[in-house]
Amino acid sequence: MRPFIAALLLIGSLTASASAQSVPEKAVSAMHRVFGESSLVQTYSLVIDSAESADVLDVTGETVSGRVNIREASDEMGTVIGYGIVDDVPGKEQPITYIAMMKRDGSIADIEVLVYRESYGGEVGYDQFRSQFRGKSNPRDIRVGRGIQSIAGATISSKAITNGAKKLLTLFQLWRKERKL
Amino acid sequence: MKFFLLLLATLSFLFLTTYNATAQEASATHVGGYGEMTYTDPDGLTPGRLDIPRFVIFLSHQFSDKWSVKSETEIEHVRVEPGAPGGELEVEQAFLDFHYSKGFGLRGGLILIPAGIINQTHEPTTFLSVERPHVDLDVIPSTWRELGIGAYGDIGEHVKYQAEVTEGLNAAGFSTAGISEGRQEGVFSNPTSPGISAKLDFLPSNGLRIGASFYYQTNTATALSFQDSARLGQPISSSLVVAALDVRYDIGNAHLRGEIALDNVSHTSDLPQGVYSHVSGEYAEASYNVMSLISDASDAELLPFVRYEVESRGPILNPSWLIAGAALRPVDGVIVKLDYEWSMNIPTTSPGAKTRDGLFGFGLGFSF
Repeated sequence: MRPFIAALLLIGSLTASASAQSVPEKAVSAMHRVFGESSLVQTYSLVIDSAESADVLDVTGETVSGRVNIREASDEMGTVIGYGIVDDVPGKEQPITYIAMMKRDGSIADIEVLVYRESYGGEVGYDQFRSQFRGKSNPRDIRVGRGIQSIAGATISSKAITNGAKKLLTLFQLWRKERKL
Repeated sequence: MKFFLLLLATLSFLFLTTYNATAQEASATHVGGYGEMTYTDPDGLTPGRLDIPRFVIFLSHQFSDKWSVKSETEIEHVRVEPGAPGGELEVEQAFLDFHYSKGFGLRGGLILIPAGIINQTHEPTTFLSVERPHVDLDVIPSTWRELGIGAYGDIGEHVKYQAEVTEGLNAAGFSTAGISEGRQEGVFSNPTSPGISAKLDFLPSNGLRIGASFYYQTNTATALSFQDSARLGQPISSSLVVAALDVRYDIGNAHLRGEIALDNVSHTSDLPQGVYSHVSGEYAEASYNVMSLISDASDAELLPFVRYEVESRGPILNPSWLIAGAALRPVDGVIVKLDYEWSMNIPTTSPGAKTRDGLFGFGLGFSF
């Protein structure tokens, strides 16, 4: 019993110094991982008008309106390399916070789960699930059972992240149109 | 004393690990729930039956990204009224959850024993038949929850673990119908002989999950003693093992699942009531989302399925069941079910045995 208690206390004190990152900090870390550690990340707003909102609804079945924050990563020369959008989707009991990162050419570079709050699940953060999204540029190809294989035993979170990535890719295409990329 | 030290160490650990952590997001309270309404009609003389077997309210609160409390409160069979037919009002889960990292989390309170498929994932929208599989009721006493603490997490990206220490089962409730009435469920329970449980889930690819679970209790009979004159008052000892293997395999629109489970009770001849020392069961189920063939635009799922189950209980013949039906999920969170069950080798003389030959079922379920 005593060694067990000592081990717990030791692990506790060692990990106590690991400070937690906020969601915006985690988003920047994710973009540094994908677009390079030296990339500069700035945030812009995309305003969704009613016609665009109808387009998003048509593709994704979800209503999005108002402003969406788009993070832009650029290199030291000021050239834009990629983009990221942070979103929450409902998990089984708690929301899952994730980021979809896109390249200039309109395809998904990667997705990453930033905060997973539930005790069951979490497999949507695994690389074997996320890798299915890389390179996809048509939101209609992002569907569970058709293009995306859900995770056995974690269907709710698989569907939630898949529908979320579809929505964010659709929003990103509006941004590309607006910016004439 | 040991328990107290363990508790103290755990609390110190939690305090130290959260000392520098800051709440990242606004606190959030979430309300959810699930329920099912069923119509079951056995072949033969008895009339059919309408019921709401379960209506459950989830209430969870996120104190910070790491700390949360989760609960499930259930009403079984519509109403609870003293002296009248009806059901139970019960807390099915209530635990504090400390989600430290992907690799490590702790939960403490009324928690689910990690065993098989259904015990931890039992929302009616997750299984296709109107009733839960027999094996997940008779061999694994779902919904099996006890008071205790547990650890969980991921080992890399292909393995998940869960390990728990909880109050154990009480053999006074065991019978030839199984071990399920031995659950203490946190009601003024006796922690003398705790149960130790663990589950490993392997995920070699997205669609495949293989689970192996194990429960061990040194003595389920701490509340019992010999009643015969030769050994009057002497303590009885009877250990229990519950082990299970489960597989879920999704290949595009095809879904397979299967489970093998067993209960092993030692020294059953010492127990005052009839208890089988060895009970086991297995099932295999296949389904296919035919909506993918009918309409490319629809996100609805229509899943015809077939399941075969067989159990081995004591000296009786192996009872088995063949269940065929279809489930419709028009949107996520809603399910409509229709099935028919053929029973074979069900002895009508055995206590706890079901007497029907066939059973028609219709069910509506939701989860949000």
